[in-house]
Amino acid sequence: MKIPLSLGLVALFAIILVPLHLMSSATQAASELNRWYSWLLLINVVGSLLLLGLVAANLWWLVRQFRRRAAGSRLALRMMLLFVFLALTPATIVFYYSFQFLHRSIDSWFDVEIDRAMDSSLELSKAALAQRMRTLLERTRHLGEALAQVPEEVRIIELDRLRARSDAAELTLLTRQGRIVAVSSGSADLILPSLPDISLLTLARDFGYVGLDPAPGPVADRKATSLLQIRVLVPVDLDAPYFLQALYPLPARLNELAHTVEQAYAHYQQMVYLRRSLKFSFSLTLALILSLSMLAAIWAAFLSIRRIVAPVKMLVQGTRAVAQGNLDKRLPILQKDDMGFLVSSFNTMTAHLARARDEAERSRREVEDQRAYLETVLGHLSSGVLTLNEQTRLNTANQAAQKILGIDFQTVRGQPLRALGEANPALKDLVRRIRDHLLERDGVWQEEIHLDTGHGQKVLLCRGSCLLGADGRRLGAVLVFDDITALVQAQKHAAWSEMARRLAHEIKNPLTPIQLAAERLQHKLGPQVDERGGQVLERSTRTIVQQVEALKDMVNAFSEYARLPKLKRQPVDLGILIDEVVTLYPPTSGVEIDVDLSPELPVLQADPLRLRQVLHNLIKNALEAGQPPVHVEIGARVTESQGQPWLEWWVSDNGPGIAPQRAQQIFDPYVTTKSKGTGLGLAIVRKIIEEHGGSIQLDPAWRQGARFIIRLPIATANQEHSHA
Amino acid sequence: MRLIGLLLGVWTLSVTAAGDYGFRIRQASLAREGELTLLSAAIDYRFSPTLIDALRHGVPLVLTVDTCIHRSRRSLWDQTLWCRALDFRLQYYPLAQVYRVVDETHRFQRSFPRLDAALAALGRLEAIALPPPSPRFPRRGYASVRVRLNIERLPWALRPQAYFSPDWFLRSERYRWPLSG
Repeated sequence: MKIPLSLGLVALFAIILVPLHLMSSATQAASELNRWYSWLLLINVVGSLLLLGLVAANLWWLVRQFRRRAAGSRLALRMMLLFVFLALTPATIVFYYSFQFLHRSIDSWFDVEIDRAMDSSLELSKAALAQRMRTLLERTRHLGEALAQVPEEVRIIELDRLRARSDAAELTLLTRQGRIVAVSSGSADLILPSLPDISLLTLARDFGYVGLDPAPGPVADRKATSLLQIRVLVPVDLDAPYFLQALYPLPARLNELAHTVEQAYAHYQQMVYLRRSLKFSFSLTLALILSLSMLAAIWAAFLSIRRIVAPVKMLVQGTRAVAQGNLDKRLPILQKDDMGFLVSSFNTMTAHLARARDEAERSRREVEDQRAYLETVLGHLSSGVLTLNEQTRLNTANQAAQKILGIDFQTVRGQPLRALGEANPALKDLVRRIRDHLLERDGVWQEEIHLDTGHGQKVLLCRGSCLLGADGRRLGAVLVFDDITALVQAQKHAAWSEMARRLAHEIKNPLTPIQLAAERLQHKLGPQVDERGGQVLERSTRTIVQQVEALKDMVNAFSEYARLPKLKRQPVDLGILIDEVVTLYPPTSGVEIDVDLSPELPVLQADPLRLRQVLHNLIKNALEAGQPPVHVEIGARVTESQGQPWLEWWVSDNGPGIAPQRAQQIFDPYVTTKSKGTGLGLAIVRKIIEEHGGSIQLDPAWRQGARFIIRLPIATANQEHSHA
Repeated sequence: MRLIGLLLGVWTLSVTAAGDYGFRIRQASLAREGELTLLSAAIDYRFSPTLIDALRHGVPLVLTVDTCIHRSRRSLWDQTLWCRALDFRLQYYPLAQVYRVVDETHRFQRSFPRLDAALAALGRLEAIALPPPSPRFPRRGYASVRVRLNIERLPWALRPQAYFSPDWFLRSERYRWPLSG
């Protein structure tokens, strides 16, 4: 069972108070405890030392805690210092004045007048007794003279007679060496006379000796007044030198008075002698009482402060734990007081915090799950998703967005929207359009945006929407864009193919009957018309046939464009392929071809017939566009774009070139700058290149004619590309 | 208390130069007479001036003679079998101007006109009976006698400083002699 602190402290002070009280009582002169004073002093000194040790240990512990900056140590030290100051100050004042008072009190016991009075009373007593002693000395001398007169045989009888005559209690005849010769005593039970000390015999040798003497023999009861007697020694000249000793008892009243005076004088003299010792011992007792009380109080203060500081210490530790994120900390409630209430409140608070943390953690996990889910979904979307924060800074982007926009998003994350344009100049138009929509604060918008990338035009279907918070606050924007380039191209191809097929079908059917009809007219009417009419008929028929042939050629070209043959991919060395094609164009053909190929061109997975057709079409295009001799340059190298290697080859001529505004249209069917062209050559070229997963564009920077740049993906040997 | 006193005594004697005062036992013997054990001893008492001054001022001084019988042991310290103390009180009477010596054990008193006479008488112990019961004298035993000023019998105020003052802390060396068992 735990003892309450207050009860413990009461017990402690009681334990300390007992030896202190006993020691204080022992300083009373009449106290029975007087004899135990040294023991009590030792017990109290040892007690003081023990308490001092306890206090020192506690103080050392407290200082160590303070240096270690332990929880609650500052408060404990401050309280301790305050308590010591508050307790020590009045105690020191009380001690100082008690000390002064004690010393003055002891000094007041002694006085010159009292000294004189005591001396005078003793001298008076001595004088009073001296007169009596002189009389008795004279009387004893007479007895000695009388004893000297009698013969030796009757000396004992004479001694009895003389004692009876002289009021002496005892008469003894002694030799000079102190041996007893004869004794006469009034007491019947006397065994041994009271012999004088040998030194008295020396003193009495000439004129005799008289002196007061406490009655020798058995010690009387302490409470009884010790008896005084007058001892007289006189020399007696007989046949040999002797001493006569007479003992005269003092009258009872005189004895009593003499005893009182002697006791009082002796006591006063003793007190005079003990004056400094009394001061010292009283001061020591007072200091011990104070030190024991103070040390006990300080120790009790330590215990109390520890008890008070314990919950504060726990609270500090608990707060530290909470600050470090440990919200499961619960403190034991030691006391049912204000501190207990505080600890209980702390526990309630941490419980609430823990619950809130758990809920926040749950929410965070849910958000994380949602985020992961969204990232997964967005990561697998073919549409690019880009989010902006409320400051229109780039927030997130999925893989598709990076691929479509041709950027590494990590380099622009957190930067303003314009950073997209800085990272990829082709996106400047897109950025501008998006910014316009954001400035116009359009809620939801959609727009098809054409981007001029480095290798062709890209068509993006861009949709934007504001991101709103739960409170309706604008949090940013989300942009979704799809690369619909292929779709647009496909739609175009499909439309053109359909148109080409219909044209071929609709035009080709009546051509043969027209041709046959014209030939029949020539055959039938030729013989019937005159020469001039025959010439006109023959010329008209030839024109019809020639134009039909031209129409047939055109229809075949349309058919070829409309046809979608499957590619037959195989490993192709582009260098060899170019050389084979170039050899078909000797200088007499009106074209000079320079070939500049990189030494290490990779092998492509491509359809060699189609690639030959591409080359033929481009060379033929140069021949038709320019004036012979036409100068053509063919080059090839390996390049890298969007993290992927490409085979880039180009075909340039020194012809009139193509106006920049028509650069994008020349690859469309039925678009031509030449008088004789069908407008399908470049369209077929682009179709073949796109079927190979590549791209073709007119170099806008080339000013010496036309320069076509073709990029083909360097694919693995087994890769199969689907038709675009 | 005795142990502390002894330690303090040793300390005191070690730090103070031997003055011309102190107690010394010149000779001692024990005798058996019937049921009684009798102590005879010759002791020199030389009081310090402080002690004489205190005596003159009426402070009673008690001299204690400790007599013990021990058995020698080889492995351990010697075993004390029996101890007895004789207390002699010495006090000055200013009216009679005498020094009274009281044998407190046998409750017998004598007076002396001079201090040296009183001390001489105190120093002559002739067949003084020690309080019963009498001990057996062991084989390989020895007796010891020591005399000391009994500080615990001084007035209480004097005691604390007496323990620490060489003028007061007076005791003789232990006088030992073998016993014939």
